[in-house]
Amino acid sequence: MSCESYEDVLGDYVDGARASGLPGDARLAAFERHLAGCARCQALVADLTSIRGAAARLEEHVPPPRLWTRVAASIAEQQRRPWWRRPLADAFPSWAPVAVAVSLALLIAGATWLAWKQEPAQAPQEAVGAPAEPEAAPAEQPYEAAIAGLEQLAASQDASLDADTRAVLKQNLAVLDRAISESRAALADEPANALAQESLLDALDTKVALLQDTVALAADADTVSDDAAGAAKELNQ
Amino acid sequence: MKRARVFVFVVATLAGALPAGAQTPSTGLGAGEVTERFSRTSHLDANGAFDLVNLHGNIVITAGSGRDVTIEAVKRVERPNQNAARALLQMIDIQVVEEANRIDIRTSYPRPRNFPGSVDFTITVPADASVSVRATGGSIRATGIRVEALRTVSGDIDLVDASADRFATASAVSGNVTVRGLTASAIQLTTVSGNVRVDNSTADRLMARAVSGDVEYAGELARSGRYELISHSGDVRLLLSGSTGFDVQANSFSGSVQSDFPITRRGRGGEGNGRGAATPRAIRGTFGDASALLVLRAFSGSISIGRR
Repeated sequence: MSCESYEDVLGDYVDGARASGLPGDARLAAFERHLAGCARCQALVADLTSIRGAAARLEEHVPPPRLWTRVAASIAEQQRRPWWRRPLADAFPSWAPVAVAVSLALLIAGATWLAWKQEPAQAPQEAVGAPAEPEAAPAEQPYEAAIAGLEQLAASQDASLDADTRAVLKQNLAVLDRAISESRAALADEPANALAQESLLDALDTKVALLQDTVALAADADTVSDDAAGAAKELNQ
Repeated sequence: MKRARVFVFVVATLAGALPAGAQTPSTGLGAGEVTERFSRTSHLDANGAFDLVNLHGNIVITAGSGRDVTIEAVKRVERPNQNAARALLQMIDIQVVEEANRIDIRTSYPRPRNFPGSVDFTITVPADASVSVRATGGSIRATGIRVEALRTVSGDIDLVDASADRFATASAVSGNVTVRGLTASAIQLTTVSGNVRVDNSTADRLMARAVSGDVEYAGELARSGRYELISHSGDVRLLLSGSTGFDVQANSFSGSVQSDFPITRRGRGGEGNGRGAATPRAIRGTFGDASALLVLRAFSGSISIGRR
């Protein structure tokens, strides 16, 4: 039988279930026989067992209050306003990176599962020594993508903001970049440090929010016709 | 939805088209400064909404006892050439839009980067009107209002004796965010390089965050309240009054963590009673009935929990 035909008992096996010889364990017994000769399933069981063990060792985390505060506030704000009044920043709610991160994780997990299902029924034995699957993207990658996009957008609207505002935004982006650098350095020294990881994500989250605000501010400022702008420029010489 | 009424007042147009009585140009105190006053009185029925967007200038909003919304504004432009200043002044538009028990005010400026103008607002709103303000350069001071959201870039935010039906948010970039006597279901306060201070306020959920500034909470904790106070390089301070117990998770990467309350600790170090931190950089445990939850985090800043 093919590897994917044992999906129904794979989870139980990883959880520690073993065939006992009773009729109800026939599927489990069949999987154990298959497993003995299938390197790919052996690797998969090893991976899942490792993940299960790592998850069991994680400390319990209480969801931070800000999570619900932000989600609820964002929902309430968006529901209250007609769509044409919503600033551009609302199109990128501050919890969006988290949603992107979750989506990305699900996508990676789904793609891995599909790839496993679409493999030939019996993988050759030499697959035992095959290199491991690439690791999932770090949590900060979705933030970096969002930041790159927002920076591009903000740069294109830079002319709409006055020099003082741009200077303040630039200084504070530098403060955030310093916080990001410090957190990354801490993570380089202590990769498993949860506080350093949280500090990094906090700083990235704040940078995304600041860039969103910058884009929205530029939209607010950019409400006067070119004619008026031209006349003002002459008078302001 | 049926619109009750729609009035659009474009109250400042180009020079020579000013509506009489609404605005009064004058030469200000500063050399080369020209000012112009703008007044408008509008009306909001119960539970209306007020929304203001201003680029430069300070904003003062106070709750009044009636149903009127009074808008007093002073437009300012400073240029050595007063004729040029007056012409520039007329290019600042204040638009007041009333519709469906809602008032929106927008100020718009010509686009040159260093436009030398600003508008200061002094506003009174009904106490039950929901208020949102977004500013760029300027402070926001609000007293007694029903707040929804206050945002500014380079000014401070002072929110006093306010309330919110559900969520209240206040955010600055380089300014301080100070809140006293705010009552809301949830409060979110953020700044990058300023400080956040919360005094005698009540909320089921509070999130206060700064990056390089300090975060301070002073007052009682709500039973079942959830408080998240975070700073990267600033300090996090709690000065608690009242008898509400709490469950605390306080961590600093390189700063110190200290509590004046006897915390019953948990975690890898095991259970035990003691005053202060289990380690110099972390406290995890409970005090009293543990009914409130405190999540306190700093990277290089220090964390302290003391009595008021």
